[in-house]
Amino acid sequence: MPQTKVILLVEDNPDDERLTLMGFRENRILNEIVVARDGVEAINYLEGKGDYADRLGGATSPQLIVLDLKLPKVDGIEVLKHIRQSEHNQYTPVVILTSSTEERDIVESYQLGVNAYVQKPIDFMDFTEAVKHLGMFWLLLNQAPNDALKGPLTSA
Amino acid sequence: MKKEISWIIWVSFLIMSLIGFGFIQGAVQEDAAYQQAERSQNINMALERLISELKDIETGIRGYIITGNYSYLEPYNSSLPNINKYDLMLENLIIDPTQTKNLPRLIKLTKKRLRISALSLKLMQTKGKDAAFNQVSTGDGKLVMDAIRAHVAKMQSRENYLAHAAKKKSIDAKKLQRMVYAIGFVIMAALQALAFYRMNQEINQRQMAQKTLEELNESLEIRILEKTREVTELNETLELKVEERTAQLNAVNKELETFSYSVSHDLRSPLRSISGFSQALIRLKNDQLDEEAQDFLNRILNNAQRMGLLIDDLLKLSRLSRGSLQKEPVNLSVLVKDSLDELMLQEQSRQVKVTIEPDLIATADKQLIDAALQNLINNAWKYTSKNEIAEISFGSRMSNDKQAFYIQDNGAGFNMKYAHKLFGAFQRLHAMEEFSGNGIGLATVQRIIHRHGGEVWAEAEEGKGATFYFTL
Repeated sequence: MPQTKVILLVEDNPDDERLTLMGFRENRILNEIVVARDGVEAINYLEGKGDYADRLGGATSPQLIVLDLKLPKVDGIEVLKHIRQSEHNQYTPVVILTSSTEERDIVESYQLGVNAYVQKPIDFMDFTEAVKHLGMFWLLLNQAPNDALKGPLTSA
Repeated sequence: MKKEISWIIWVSFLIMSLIGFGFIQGAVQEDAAYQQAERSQNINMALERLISELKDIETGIRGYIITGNYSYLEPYNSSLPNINKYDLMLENLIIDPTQTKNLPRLIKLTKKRLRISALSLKLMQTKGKDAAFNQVSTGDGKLVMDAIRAHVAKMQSRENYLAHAAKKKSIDAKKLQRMVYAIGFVIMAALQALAFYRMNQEINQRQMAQKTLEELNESLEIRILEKTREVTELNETLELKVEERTAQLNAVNKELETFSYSVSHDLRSPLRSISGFSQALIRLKNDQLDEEAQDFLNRILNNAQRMGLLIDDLLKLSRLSRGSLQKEPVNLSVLVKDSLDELMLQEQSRQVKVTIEPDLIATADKQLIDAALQNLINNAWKYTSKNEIAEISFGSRMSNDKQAFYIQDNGAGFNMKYAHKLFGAFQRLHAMEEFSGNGIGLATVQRIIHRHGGEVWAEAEEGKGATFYFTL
C-alpha cells in the first residue's frame, strides 16, 4: 500500500461536503481529506499561507483536488487558474465537481486544463457512483507525472 | 393681355386695309379724271371742228351765191363729208347721259342747216342768184346756225363741267386719302405704342412671376433640406433609441442568463441534500426505520427527483432563448416520422394510426424545430394513450395566407375555455394521475415557434382530440 496522500476537497456547502465524504467512505477511499470552504482557503492550503502557514507549502501536493465552481471569495475558475500557474501543483489532477451544466463553465474549465468535469447528480446513488469512478481513476489508475518528478522530494 | 394684343393687331390690319383701299381708290379716281379730261377735250374739239366745218359750208355757199363762181363751192364740197365724220366721232366719244340726250338735237340742227344750205345751192342753180340770195336773206340759216352755236356752247359747257367734276372728285379722293393716311398712321403708331407698352408690361409681369417662382422654389428647397435634416435627426435619435433598447435588452438577457445560472446551482443544492440524506437514511439506517417511515422517505425521494427533472427542463427552456438560429430548409415530415417511429418502438403494444403528409419543407433551425415537434408529438402520443385506436396525423393548410402546419390527435383534448393557459410554463389542464408531465412542453414549443417569428395555437374539444397549429 503506497503512502496515502491528501485529497483536497474545495466545497462551501456543508451538505455537499458531507455527501461527498460519505461517497468517499462508501467507496472505501481512505485518503486524508482536507476540506477548504472557499477559494482563498484552498489557495492558502496549497501555498502554505494563512492558517496553513505551518504546512510546508508545496512540499506535498495533494493527490487529487476536487473543486466546486461556485465558491465564496475566489471562485473555482480562479482557483483552477492559480493551480495551473503554480510551480508545485501544475500537474496535480483537478476534478471539477459542480451543479453547473453551463456550456461556458465546461469549456472554460477544460481550456484552463482541468482533468475532468463532473456534474453533481441529484440522486445520492448516482453521486456515490461518480465519486467511486473518480477515486478509481484518479487515485489508483492514473499515473501522474508529479509522482515521478516529486519522488526524490518525498523520500527526503 | 393676349386678347388685347390680338385686338391691336386686328385693328392695325383693318387700318392698313383701309389705307390700301384708299390708295387704290385714289388711283382709280385720278385715272377716271384723266380719262374724263381727255374725253372732254376730244369732244369739245370735235364740236368746234363741227362748227368750223359748218361755217366753211356756209361761207362756200355764200361766196358762190354772191360771185356765182363755182370755185367758191370748194370748201362746201370738202367739208360736207366731214360733218358725218364728226357726228360719228361724237357719238363714239359721248358717254355722259345728259350729253347723249343733247347729241341728237345737235345732229338734227346740223342736218337742218345742211338742208338749208342744200336749198340755197339748189335755188342758185335752178332759179338764179336772186332767189338764192333772198332765201339766204331770210336769216333762216343764221337762226339755225345760232341755235347750233348755242347748243354746242351748252354741250361744251357740260363737257367742261364733267371734266372739272372728275378732276374735283379725284382731288377730293386724294384729300381723303391723305387724311386716311394721316389718321391711320397716327392710330397705328398709337396702337403700336400701346402694344409695345402692353408687351413690356407682360414681360415685366412674367419676369416677376418667374422671380416669385424661383423664390418659391428656393424656399421649397430650403424646406426640403430642413425636413431632410429633421428626418435624419429623427433617424439618428431612433437609431440611438434602438441602440439603447438593444443595450437594455442585452442587459436583461444577461441578467436572465445569470438568473438561470443561479437557478441551476442554487435550486439543485438543497434538492441534492434532501435526496442525498434521504437515501443515506434508507441505505445506512434502514434497520432503524419501520415500513411507514421508509414509505415517507421514498415519497420525499421521488419528489426530489421530480423537482430535479423540472429544474432541468426549466434550464433547457431558458437556453432556448439564447444563441442564434441556424436556419436551413428542413423536411418536417421526416422529423415527425422519426419521432413517431421511436415512440412506436418504445411502446409496441399501442395501436396508433399515423398519417403524415410527405415532404413538408420549412426554413427553420433544425434542432429547435425538432424539439418543438417532439414535444407536440409526445403530447399527442400521451393524450391518446387511453384510446383503443389512437390517430395522429401531421399536415399543413393555409391560414391567413400563411402555411400552417398541424399535429392532430383523437385523444383527450381539452376545453377551449382554457386554451389561453395552454402555453404558459407549469400550466396543466389534466390531473397528474391522469397524464404525467411537468407542464413545460408547450411553453417550450411556443418559445421555439416565437423565436422563428411564427405563431402557435390549438383547437380542441374535450374527449374528441386536439389540433396544434403553427406557422414559421
